[in-house]
Amino acid sequence: MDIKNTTLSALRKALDENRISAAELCKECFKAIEKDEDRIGAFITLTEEEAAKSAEKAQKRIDEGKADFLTGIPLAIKDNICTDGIKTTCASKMLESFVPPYNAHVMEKLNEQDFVIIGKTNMDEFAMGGATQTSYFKRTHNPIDTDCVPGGSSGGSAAAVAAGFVPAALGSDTGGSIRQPASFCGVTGLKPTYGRVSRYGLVAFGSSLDQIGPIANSVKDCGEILNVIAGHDTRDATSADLSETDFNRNADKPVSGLKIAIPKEFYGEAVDDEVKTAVMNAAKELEKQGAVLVSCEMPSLKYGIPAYYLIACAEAASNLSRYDGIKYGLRGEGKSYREMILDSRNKGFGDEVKRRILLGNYALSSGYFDAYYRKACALRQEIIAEYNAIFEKADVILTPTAPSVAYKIGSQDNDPVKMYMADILTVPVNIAGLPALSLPCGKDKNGMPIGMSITGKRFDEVTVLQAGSAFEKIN
Amino acid sequence: MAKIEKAELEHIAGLSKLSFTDEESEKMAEQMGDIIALMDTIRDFDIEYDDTKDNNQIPYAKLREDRAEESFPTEKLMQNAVTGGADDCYVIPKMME
Repeated sequence: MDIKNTTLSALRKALDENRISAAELCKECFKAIEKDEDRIGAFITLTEEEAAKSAEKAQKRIDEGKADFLTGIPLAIKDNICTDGIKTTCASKMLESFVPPYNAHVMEKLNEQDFVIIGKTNMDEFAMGGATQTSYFKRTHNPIDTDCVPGGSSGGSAAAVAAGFVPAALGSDTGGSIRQPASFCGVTGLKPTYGRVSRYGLVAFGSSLDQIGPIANSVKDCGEILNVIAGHDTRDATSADLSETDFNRNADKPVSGLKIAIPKEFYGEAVDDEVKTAVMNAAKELEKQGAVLVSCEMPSLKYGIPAYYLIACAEAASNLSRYDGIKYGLRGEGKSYREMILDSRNKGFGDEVKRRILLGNYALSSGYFDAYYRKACALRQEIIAEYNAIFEKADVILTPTAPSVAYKIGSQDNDPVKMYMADILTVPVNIAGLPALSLPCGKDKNGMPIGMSITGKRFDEVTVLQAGSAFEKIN
Repeated sequence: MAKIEKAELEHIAGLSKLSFTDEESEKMAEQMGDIIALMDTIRDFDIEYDDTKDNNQIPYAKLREDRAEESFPTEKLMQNAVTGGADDCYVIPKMME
């Protein structure tokens, strides 16, 4: 079976009609992984034993005619989502041996449906990076061109889907970490509205920005996974108590009359011409389908990077202060309590994580708090206000996902500023807590995928998926 | 290339519970200087934070009922303690002389 070109709905049908068993489907995934994982490096942990058990359980349910949408469907999970009894490393030496004693809320939701876990995917250490090159364990390669990065931080999940190892995967998005790797690998990724999916059991990076979401081969597949993982959870105080039964309910509706905003700042000098052309061609295609293109502005975009990095790193500095080597994680050496903690953190964290902790504590420290952190919070208010103004005259916003296509591995190593600037188009969505979908809209002259992003109003994933699905059908 | 002062790096490293060798400090001071120069662009933005605005606009859930629930099994929580623990306690170096 060609997993790469099969939708989740088609897999569901094949399982329900007994054209393939859950165990056979699972084996297909591991066969593909065995063939190509050495050159891709998508996984940190493979869970063949757990997968076989889950497939058996799922098959019983299928045979009884009680299957849910994801029963027997193989998925990969980013390695910052806690899995009871299965190592969750966050791609860090700090958590190299950490086995969570509980499941994340999304894992509970997936397990309720008896999905099949194939493995835990590689990522940038603690989700800090945009290329999946800061992992302690390995670098992940882009399946389209293995000399290129897959994007990040959910690069392992995007690469696993793009390589046909799994039909879909879960990632997490703090500043573009689902959408940018989806764009680089030519697959589809959805960052839900902040509060739509519980963060319980997601290892915290920037708590006011983090959100779990799907990466898959189609827009509707993303909607189907969101149907399962969304929902209220009392263990996450920011989880919204809103019910939504079918995020794909408008996915087959036409887009005639849909107002699509084109903010000019997202098409500026920093964006490659080929990327701009591909996204504008997509806009014209949607216009041909009856959508209405609306010009608009977002003047604060140029401050998006410092605002995002100051907020995210301030939160990260606090969140990562828990890693002291005492209850779990790498235990360093030292004659005193303080020496032991310093040694644990010095040895356990990589350079990028250290830089972000330092920046966060700098921004929060006495004398700098107002100039940096509070200013970043003011910018957040301004960015939210500018989005609100755009949404008064439009239903969704269309932008490139990233300023460029996937770049060569090693070309941005040791240049953190250049790496941060590459997030310019994705971070405003997290700052404002909005839903956004990245889907392929063309290729550059070298055949590398170009992604476009559709951003929606808070909790309006339905319209985002509608617009995405309409484009996918004509592309 | 911007660079932050050694004393300043040591100060924030202390707050971060991190330490660096001289060689590491040199490189980190340069990189942090570049990063902070990028963050400094935010100073051009002439706006004050408004404490009266709700940043997140999240329909916060009501607080959950305050009732006792079963805890995680101690044994399971201790499985990640490097020292293995003793009498269900985590073992750490002496904090006071």
